[in-house]
Amino acid sequence: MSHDYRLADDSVVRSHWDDALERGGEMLVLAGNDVTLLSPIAAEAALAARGGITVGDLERHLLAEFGAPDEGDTESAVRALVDTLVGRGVMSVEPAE
Amino acid sequence: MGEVSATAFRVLLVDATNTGRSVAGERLLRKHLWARGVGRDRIRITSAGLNAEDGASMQGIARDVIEAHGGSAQGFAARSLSAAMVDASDLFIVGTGAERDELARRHPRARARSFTLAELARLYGDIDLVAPLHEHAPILERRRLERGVPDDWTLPPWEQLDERARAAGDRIAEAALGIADIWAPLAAVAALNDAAPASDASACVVDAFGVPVALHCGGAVRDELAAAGRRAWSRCLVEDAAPETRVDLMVDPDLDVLAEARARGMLAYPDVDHALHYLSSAVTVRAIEQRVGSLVMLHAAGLASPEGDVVGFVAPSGTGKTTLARTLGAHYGYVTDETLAIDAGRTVLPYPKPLSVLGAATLTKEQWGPESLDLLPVPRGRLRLTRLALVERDPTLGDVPRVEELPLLHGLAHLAEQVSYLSKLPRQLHTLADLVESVGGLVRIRYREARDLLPLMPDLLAGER
Repeated sequence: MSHDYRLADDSVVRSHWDDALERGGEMLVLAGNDVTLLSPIAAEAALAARGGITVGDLERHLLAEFGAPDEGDTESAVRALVDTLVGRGVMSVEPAE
Repeated sequence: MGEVSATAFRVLLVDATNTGRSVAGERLLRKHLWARGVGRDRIRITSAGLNAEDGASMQGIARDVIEAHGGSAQGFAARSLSAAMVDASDLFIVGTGAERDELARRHPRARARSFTLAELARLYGDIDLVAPLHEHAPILERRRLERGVPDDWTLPPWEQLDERARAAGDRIAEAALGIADIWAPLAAVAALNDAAPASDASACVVDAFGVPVALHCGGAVRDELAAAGRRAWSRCLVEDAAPETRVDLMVDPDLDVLAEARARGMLAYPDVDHALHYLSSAVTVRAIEQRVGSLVMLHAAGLASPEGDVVGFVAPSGTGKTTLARTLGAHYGYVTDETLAIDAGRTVLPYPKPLSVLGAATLTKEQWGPESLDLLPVPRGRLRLTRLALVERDPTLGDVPRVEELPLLHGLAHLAEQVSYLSKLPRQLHTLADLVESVGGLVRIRYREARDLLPLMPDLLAGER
C-alpha cells in the first residue's frame, strides 16, 4: 500500500485561512474549523505561501530568513512543515498542471 | 439567531478495496441511523477504498453480513478514495490502524480525524460527549492519544477466513448500532410543528442559556418520565415561553413501539434513566445550534458569586467539569457544568442543567437536578464573566493547585478547541481574543481534587470587574 508522496521542488503550495492573529512572530490561524498556533517559522511559511509558492522557493526563503535547521536538512524540514500545515488545513498543494 | 442551517455531518468509511468492511459499515450505520429518524441531510455516510477499483461489486461475505443484520446491499459500486472526498468529510472510519496510518500519510487532512470502529466503540464507551457532532473528531483524537486505545479487534486466526470475516461483520454491526445510538440524539431534529408552549403535565419548556426548548414526554410511563424530567431540570423550567426547538422523549417497554418512535425522530428508550441521560445531550446540542454565531459557547463549568460575578472553568468533555461544578457549587452559584454561554457584553446566560452523577447502587450515570445535590442557585440579576481558567486535573499534584498565566495566542489556541462553532462567530478569533482580554487573559490551573480549587475562588472572582 506504500507510495512515494514526497513533494517535488516545483510543486506549488498555497496558504489560506479565515482569520488570524499575530503576536511576537507567532500566528494563530483559523482555517475552516481548525485553529492552529504557528511558530515563527511556520508563520513565515504561511505568509510566504499566501499567493502560492513552489516548495523549492519556500525552502530557499526560509533558509534565508532563519538559516539551516539545527538538526536534519532543510529540504526534509520544509516538507515536514508543509505536511503539517496541509494536515491542519492552513496550506494546500496545488494540483499539477 | 435561529437554527443553524442543516449542515450534514459527513462520515467516510475507508478500507483497502471498498468491497468488504467499509461497505458493511456504511450500510449498517445508514440502517441504524435511518431507524432513528436521522437521514442523510443530518449525517451522510459514504465509503471508499485506498486501492479500490471504481465500480467493483461488494464481496459476497459483505453482502451476507449486511443482509444478516437487516441492512440493504442494493445499489452499491466501489469508489477509489480521492482528495475531493477527503476534503468533503468531517470524520473517517477506517478498517484497521494500518489503514488509518496510510490514509493519513496520503491525505494529511484526514489526520487526527480518523478512527477504527474498534477505537470509536471504546472511546465513546466511557465518555458523555455533549457536543455537536462536528466537534467530536478532535475530542476523540485527544482521548485516543491520552489513553492509547487498541485500534483493532481480536478476531479468529487468519487461516479461518470465513469465520474471521463473519466475526468482523458481527463487530461492525454491534459498533454501528452503538454509534448510531450516540449520534442520533445529537443529530435528529424533530419538526417544531407547534410553537405553542407546552400545555399539559407531560410537556414542559426548559431554558438553556436563553433558548426555550420544549420537552414532550410519551410512552407507557409518560407521567413518571415527565415527573423525573421536571425534577432533574427544575432550575431550567420556564412558564409561558414560546419554544424555539423541541425534543420528543419516550419510555416504553415495547420494542416495536420504541422502534416506531425512533423512526419518527423521537428519543425512545426502555427506561427513564437512559431517556434522561440522552435528553441532556439532545437539549444542549439543540440549544447550541439555535445560538450559532450569536453567543460564545464554551465547554466550561461556571460558578457565580452572590454579586453575579462568574468564573468559567474550561475543560474538554469527560475531564471533570461536573465534579468541579458539584464541589464548588456547594459554595457558589451553579451556573452550568457543561456549556458556558456568553454574549457580546460579557453577560453569562445560565444553564443549570442536571448533572450526570455515578449512581452508588447501579454504577451507571444518573441525571441529578442541582436541587437534589444542594447546589446553590445563581443570584438574581445580571451574571457577568470575570475570569476564564483552563483547568486540568492531575492526580500527581499536591493539594495546592498550580496556576499559570498563559500568553494570549497560546491560551487562545487551547481555548479555541473548547468553543462551539467558533468559525461561525462574527470576527471569529478576534471576538474570542476580545473576550479573553476583557477578563484579564487566560490562566491555566492544574489541580488534584476539585476541592483544592476553593481557596482560589476569591482571587479568581476578583478578576476583571
